Amino acid sequence: MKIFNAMSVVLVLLSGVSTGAAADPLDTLMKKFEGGKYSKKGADTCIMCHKRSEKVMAIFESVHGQANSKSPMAGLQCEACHGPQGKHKGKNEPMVTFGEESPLTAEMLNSVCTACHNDTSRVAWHTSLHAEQDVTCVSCHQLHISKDPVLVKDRQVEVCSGCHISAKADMNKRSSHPLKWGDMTCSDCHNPHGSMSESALNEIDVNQTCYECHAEKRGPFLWEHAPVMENCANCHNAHGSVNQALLKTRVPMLCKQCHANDGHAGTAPGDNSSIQTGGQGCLNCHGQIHGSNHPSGKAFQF
Amino acid sequence: MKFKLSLITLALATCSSAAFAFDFGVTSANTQTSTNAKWACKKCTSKNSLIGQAGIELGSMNSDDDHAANNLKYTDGFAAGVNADLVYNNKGYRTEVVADELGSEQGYGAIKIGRIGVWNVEASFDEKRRYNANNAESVWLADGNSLIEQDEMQTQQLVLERKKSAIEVKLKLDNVASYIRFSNEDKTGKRASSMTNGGIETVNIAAPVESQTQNMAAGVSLSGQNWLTELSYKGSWFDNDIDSLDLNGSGYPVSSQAPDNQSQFITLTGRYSLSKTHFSGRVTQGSMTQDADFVTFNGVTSGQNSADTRVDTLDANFKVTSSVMSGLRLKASVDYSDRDNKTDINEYEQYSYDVLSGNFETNTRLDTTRTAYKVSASYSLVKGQRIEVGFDRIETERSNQEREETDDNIFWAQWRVTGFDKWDIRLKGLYSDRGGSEFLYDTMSASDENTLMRKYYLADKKSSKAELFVTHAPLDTLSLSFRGYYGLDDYTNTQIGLVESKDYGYDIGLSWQALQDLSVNIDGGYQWIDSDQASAQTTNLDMWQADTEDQFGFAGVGFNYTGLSQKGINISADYSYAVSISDSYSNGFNVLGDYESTSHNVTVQANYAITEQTIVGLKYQYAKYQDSDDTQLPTYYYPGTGPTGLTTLGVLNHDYDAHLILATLQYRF
Repeated sequence: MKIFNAMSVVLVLLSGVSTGAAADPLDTLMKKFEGGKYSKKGADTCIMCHKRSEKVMAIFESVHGQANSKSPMAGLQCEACHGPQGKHKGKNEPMVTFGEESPLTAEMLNSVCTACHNDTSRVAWHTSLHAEQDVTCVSCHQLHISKDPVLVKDRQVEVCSGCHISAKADMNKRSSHPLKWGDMTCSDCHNPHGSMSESALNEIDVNQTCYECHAEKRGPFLWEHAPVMENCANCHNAHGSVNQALLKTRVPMLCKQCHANDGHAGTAPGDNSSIQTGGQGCLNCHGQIHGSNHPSGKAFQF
Repeated sequence: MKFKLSLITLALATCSSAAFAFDFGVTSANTQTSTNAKWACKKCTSKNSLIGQAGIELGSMNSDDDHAANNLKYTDGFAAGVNADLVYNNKGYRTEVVADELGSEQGYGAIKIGRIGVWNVEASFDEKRRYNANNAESVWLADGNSLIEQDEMQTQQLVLERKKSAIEVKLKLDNVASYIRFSNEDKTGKRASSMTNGGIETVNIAAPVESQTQNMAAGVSLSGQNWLTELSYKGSWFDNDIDSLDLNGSGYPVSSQAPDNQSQFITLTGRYSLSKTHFSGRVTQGSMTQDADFVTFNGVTSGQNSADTRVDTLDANFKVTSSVMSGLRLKASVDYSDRDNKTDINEYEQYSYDVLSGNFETNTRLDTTRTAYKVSASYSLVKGQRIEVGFDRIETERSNQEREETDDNIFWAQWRVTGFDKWDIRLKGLYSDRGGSEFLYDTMSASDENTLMRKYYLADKKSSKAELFVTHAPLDTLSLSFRGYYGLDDYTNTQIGLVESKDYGYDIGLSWQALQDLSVNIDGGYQWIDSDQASAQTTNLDMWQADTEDQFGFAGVGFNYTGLSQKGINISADYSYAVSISDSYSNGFNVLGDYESTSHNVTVQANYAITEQTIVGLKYQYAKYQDSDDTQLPTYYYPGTGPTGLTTLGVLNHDYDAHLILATLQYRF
């Protein structure tokens, strides 16, 4: 038994350093790729058989299908993405495909795209949550189409919310950013290719992301409200809330979660006879709650 | 025996996926024998160089509340908009034109021209109006920076309008790329705000909004096959025409509004890949400044003219991920963020009721330094099963706050199963523990807070979260999804403040290709967020507790029918319902009253292709929306039914039905 276990351990270790023992058709595809036997006529060879497919031919409407440019069609053409033809024609040897049935791993599929799409907006792709979760480029992007839907402003949310169903739900809350109707897109705040920031935000942190559209909150104010300065998400949920103004909890309850001084803030929540409740709640008096630049504005009143 | 079997399974699994990071990218291609330089690509053409569609929509909106335009994009009356999504390819050059209901309340248009893979210029225009209320009532009417008292109550509209223009230029040569982006956004309208006399009188107002924000970004990058570096700049300038507000002749103190300000950031970013290991890093040096003139009670600057506030920031991020062996990925990162407030410290006289109090307070510099260390591992147990575990530690230092240091330790794990045919199962768990230094309420001279108070963003906290996400495709035509989640934040050492918060619920989805020509989508979910808090005015002798119970539910169903497409007919419909509720109970009473919103949205659309290019259609949208907030008060209320000294904008709740019918004409190229 000990010998058997030891052999198993060796097998495990060996498997970890092995790079070649893969099964068909992946093995075939790797060998084909390394062999580099490209077709003699490029895309014209492919089109001979595939011209009846509207989807295939739609590549020539897309950015990737323009031969007179710096697109794949100006280089190795179809084989730039689908690998060298090898014995595909005639013997039906497999080509690199990108659907769910593809034998390639997500990382391998993505290596096709990242070879060319190596720019700053994708600088953190390899460490991104999407890469970690084996999301492939074609999970979101379509190539054989005149225009990729995820790049169309009012269709992007539909693509993202296919997986991010909690974000989709949040769009229906009492207050939310106008994503549901396509007036904003997920990529206004997030980089789906990953970023060096938390939650793949486009800017260096949450607050700087918010300031892109809400620069009036940036200050810096003479009198800063500490949780506001530290993180907008301390009080707001950017994806949506059952409360007004994306607030995590209603005013005055939210304020009273942090304020219980010897004066009025520590009083029990009252009904509308309280100035902390009726009208705009605590903001009736503390209207400059994001910070005040008034010399006498320490309490965010002016 | 179990050990033996599991090891064998593990070994086989890792063997079977041994080729774990093969690069199929064109830059790794063996092109030694390729003759592609001679490829003519004679058939690489599209039938059309102009592709897409353009059209108009004309119709009528029927609604007595402009709030409906937030969703339906038109206000009451005639509705007209332009839609277009066009592409023109010509010898490697490409032009894209987009118009999305241009002319409506939420229109967007853009044009992009360029040579593919080399350069492009994009210009866009985005117009949004956000209607919050039609019926704000106040005798105070804005005129510039002043609110002038009118003889009679004025009904005012609270609507914010954003008009944003942007232009972007990108250039890419072989290994060098650069971009410059500039945008200008004008924001105008009115928003709900409030003015106080510093005592017990306050007036809710329809405050004017008139500001501009200009953002600029530019960068240049160099890249090779496995590396990239970029130097970039980002600047933002905010200019507020309404930098102060006064209730003319009321004796109320003049109120300062958001000051003009600006920010600048310079960033160096880099990436390097070494075989199966990828490094990326970024360093950003920035500053935020504002030197707006002080607003004083009588509106006249005296003495020191401005605070000249300045905050310098330094952010550094480093990440590495490596596929160290078959099936095993390791990841680590360090994120450093420093906020250094450089504003001069001075004494400022504070206000009490209707006079300056003689009480001077000094401004405080709020500095933070945050360092986050994260490590994680992802291992493929067997083919189709992956387990991920991670640990994050976040150390935060603060100055001039009630707690100087907090440390968060976060453990998380995910088990993902894709090996079972037609199933994708993800089970996530997280546990985190936050502690830190002593609270300083009793030693902070500037704080009047109760010494038992623990502010929730600083307080000790133990969090537990679990989430199950399952997608199942029992048929090729049917996909089901379920997400259930539960989260608990326990503020372990808090007696006064937020004590506990729970967030739990579920989401479901169904996507069904019922017939070849009929697809159906259904989704829905429900969420509960419960927050327990406690407080006291003085000590724990007058403790009170309150529970806030938030609930949210939604449901949607839609279909698309293309069975008559041979005859040029396409029909689709969607319906969605949502309800948001918040109740706060103290001593058994719902102290804040009813707070709820419900919405129903229906869209029905039918298109008919008169010819292959010309399509006419009819689109009907219905919205029923209602919200309530019992804390809103009429402008005039009976004594005892509202607080003394408060003048409100009235009850701003909504309750409306809206109908939008549009005839569409579309031309397909």
